[in-house]
Amino acid sequence: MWVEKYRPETVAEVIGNEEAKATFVNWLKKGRKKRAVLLYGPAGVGKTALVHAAAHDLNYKVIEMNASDTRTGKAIMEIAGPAASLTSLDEFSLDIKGSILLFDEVDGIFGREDRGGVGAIVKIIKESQTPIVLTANNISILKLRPITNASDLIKFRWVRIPLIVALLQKICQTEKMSSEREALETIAQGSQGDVRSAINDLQTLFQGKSVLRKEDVQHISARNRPLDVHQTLKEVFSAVSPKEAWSILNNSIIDYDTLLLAIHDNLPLRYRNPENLATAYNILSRADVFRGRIGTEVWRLLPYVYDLLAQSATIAPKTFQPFKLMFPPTKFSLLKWTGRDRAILESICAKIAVKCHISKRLANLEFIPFLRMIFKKESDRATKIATWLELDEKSLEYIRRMA
Amino acid sequence: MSRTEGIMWVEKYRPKTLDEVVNLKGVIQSLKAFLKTPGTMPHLLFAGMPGTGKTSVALCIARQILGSNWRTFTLELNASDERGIKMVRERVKNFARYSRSGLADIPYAVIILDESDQMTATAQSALRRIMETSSLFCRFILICNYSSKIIEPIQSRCAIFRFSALQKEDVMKHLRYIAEKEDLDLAIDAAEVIIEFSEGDLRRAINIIQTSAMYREDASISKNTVFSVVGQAHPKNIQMMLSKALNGNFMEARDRLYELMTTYSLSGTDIIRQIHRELYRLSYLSPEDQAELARIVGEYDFRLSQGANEDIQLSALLAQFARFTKSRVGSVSG
Amino acid sequence: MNKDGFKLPYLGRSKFIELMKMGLEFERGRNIFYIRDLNRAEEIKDSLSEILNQEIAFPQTCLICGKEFLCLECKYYETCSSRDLPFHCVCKKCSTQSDLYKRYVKKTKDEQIRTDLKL
Repeated sequence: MWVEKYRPETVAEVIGNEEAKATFVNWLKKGRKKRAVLLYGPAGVGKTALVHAAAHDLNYKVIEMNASDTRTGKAIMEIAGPAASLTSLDEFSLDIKGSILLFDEVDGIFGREDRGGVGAIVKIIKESQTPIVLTANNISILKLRPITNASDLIKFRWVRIPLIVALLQKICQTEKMSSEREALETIAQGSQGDVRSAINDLQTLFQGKSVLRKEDVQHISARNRPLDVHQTLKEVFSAVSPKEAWSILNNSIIDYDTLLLAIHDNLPLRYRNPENLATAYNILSRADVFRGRIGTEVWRLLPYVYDLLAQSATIAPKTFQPFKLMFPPTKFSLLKWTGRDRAILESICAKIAVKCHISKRLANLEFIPFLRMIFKKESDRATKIATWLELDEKSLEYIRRMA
Repeated sequence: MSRTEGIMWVEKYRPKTLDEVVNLKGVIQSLKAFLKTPGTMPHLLFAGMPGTGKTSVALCIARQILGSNWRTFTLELNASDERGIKMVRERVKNFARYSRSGLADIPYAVIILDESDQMTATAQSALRRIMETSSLFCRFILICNYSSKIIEPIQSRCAIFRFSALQKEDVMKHLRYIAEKEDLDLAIDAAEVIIEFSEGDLRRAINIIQTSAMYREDASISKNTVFSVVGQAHPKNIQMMLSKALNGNFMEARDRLYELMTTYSLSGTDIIRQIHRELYRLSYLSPEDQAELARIVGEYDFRLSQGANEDIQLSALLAQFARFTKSRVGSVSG
Repeated sequence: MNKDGFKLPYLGRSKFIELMKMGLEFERGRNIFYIRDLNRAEEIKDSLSEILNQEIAFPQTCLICGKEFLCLECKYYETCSSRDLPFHCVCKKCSTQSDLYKRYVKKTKDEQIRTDLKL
């Protein structure tokens, strides 16, 4: 297969993503902020190829954990665990500078079979001595958050067409086949920046031929491309009809929970007119209700979710004006900083509930506002009340901070 | 009184015996009759607005029937804190088992279940069965705001007592009493402000006066101190959020919403309920408008109950409000 | 825009802070902005477009000859998904050369050696 034959062996041979390449090589050599780096972006643009090529250039050994391996926590620890910390005689003798632990297509971790997969990887990242490289197509999935938080991120984009044409030309030369330049350009454009599929298309089209003409390539159909998340949202909002938006959503790789929250965040930016905003929000709210009913079982309601999402994003299409998209969804950042605070608040309310014979909920509504004021004023009385309520230092600090 | 110096006054001044309860003459009389022969007392249901004495009276009863060890034989539960009827059943079962051993000189153990109108009808049916199976050795005192939300089978098994809202004079009496005990000078106009803000809820009134006492500028609690305390303790977040929304200002309304959900940690249900209440206080809305808006609130409250995202549903609600006024004439103040 | 960065009109403090948060960096001496976080290039471009109220296009730097050029001139403009973003590409003239790939590999190797020597 030509994709194997023409796999780049050195970093220079990897085409496209020059900035990402340089950042990655730099990361390996010295510029590490974190112990792991996550290369993310569309399929077939050279993420994995780059890892191997860079390892080759810098004399590193790559230890792979592929998507086909079972990725339960146990399996990962068994294979990668020892590798992450040992140095072997092999390495010593072959003048190998070190190892790289590669987790390819890490966004494939889903479902029950991969139980503990994400957790195990994060654990290895925390404890590893060797640099860890991960690749993924889509990093907006919630489940991956612990990994994205623990890694430096490098974004890969589709490869520029002229470079793909150049590569295809070189392959033709090496294979002693000739082709019209226009044919190569059509193939390159059809690949939309996915080098792997461009090479595959070239090889397919050359079957039984020695010359490739532009008529031969007319019938290539573009693959279904999942768009970059940011791009997807832009296209959804600027779509001219719910149907168009719907097909974009269906082709996208963003999970519906993220979509729901992302559209929610951006609705008021898209619709300045209160009439349109209200209509859109009404529809979005229904999508949300459907989503709530789905839980983990009633999947048959899912099409309605996408339907309604598409509708909510395309009210009054003629009024569309470009706006700055908010992404990632803010809910996550909201939750992040209140998670701990919520826990403290709840424990305080629990104590009030016991002492004052009310529910935690009412403790929050009726007592907390006054306690905030009482503790804002340093005084003997306040301290005594704190003791009576058995509040620890952390709780006190929280109440004062709230004031 | 140094032991009681550093506690919340709602507890310090909670009546410990039925005689200390100043209002509710009818209720107290009937209860006293039951207490003469405790064995004849059925399950009780106390219904009334917040801060009207339901919990205090329930605790007094427990004290009177159970004597000095009353805490051991009293179980306090809150329907909104317990996660579902299963937990209630567990706790009642464990409590019953544990308290039966020492039942020598008490007629039964007392279970106080507060906010029982928060329970779904299904949960209440299960509760009824629990009440039945444990009635040999337990008496339930159910507390709620609206007795109409309690299912009929439970109502029929309880003696129902209505706790009416406190009159202004009663609240004033309490406040004066506390002021005297705490050696405070409470100006009349300050007391009136407290009464107005507490809206018949004595618990709230006491919290206000306690906080005001800490913030007073000289020996007396002035009207301004009270205003400032109430303003800071209950900044009009819900009102402001509503008025921004009704003015068509969605983004700012939503900012306030997020503040309520994060800094104040209010749940979606809490917020929607308060919105519903606040609606009727907005005097610049006509009754028809209030009804229409209330209908919209109801719709979104329902959606919320279907397990949807709180911030999406509430934002959607605010968006409906923002559209509402635009379609009416003019704009509202605030 | 020059090789390292670009100039912007005065935008006011809050917009400035917003842009810094998004991944721009400001060099006081030369009064130039440059993009610190290339992962967010699309967002930054959109932001700037919205702030300046016109579609922003970053010129590309040719990998072979080093010149700057605009995506608009390129024949693949319609189908390119990274257009107008501040990256490297191949200019029209260089892309017509028959041994482009060889040149590309050599150029990259030379760059690497140069940066290695600097280190």
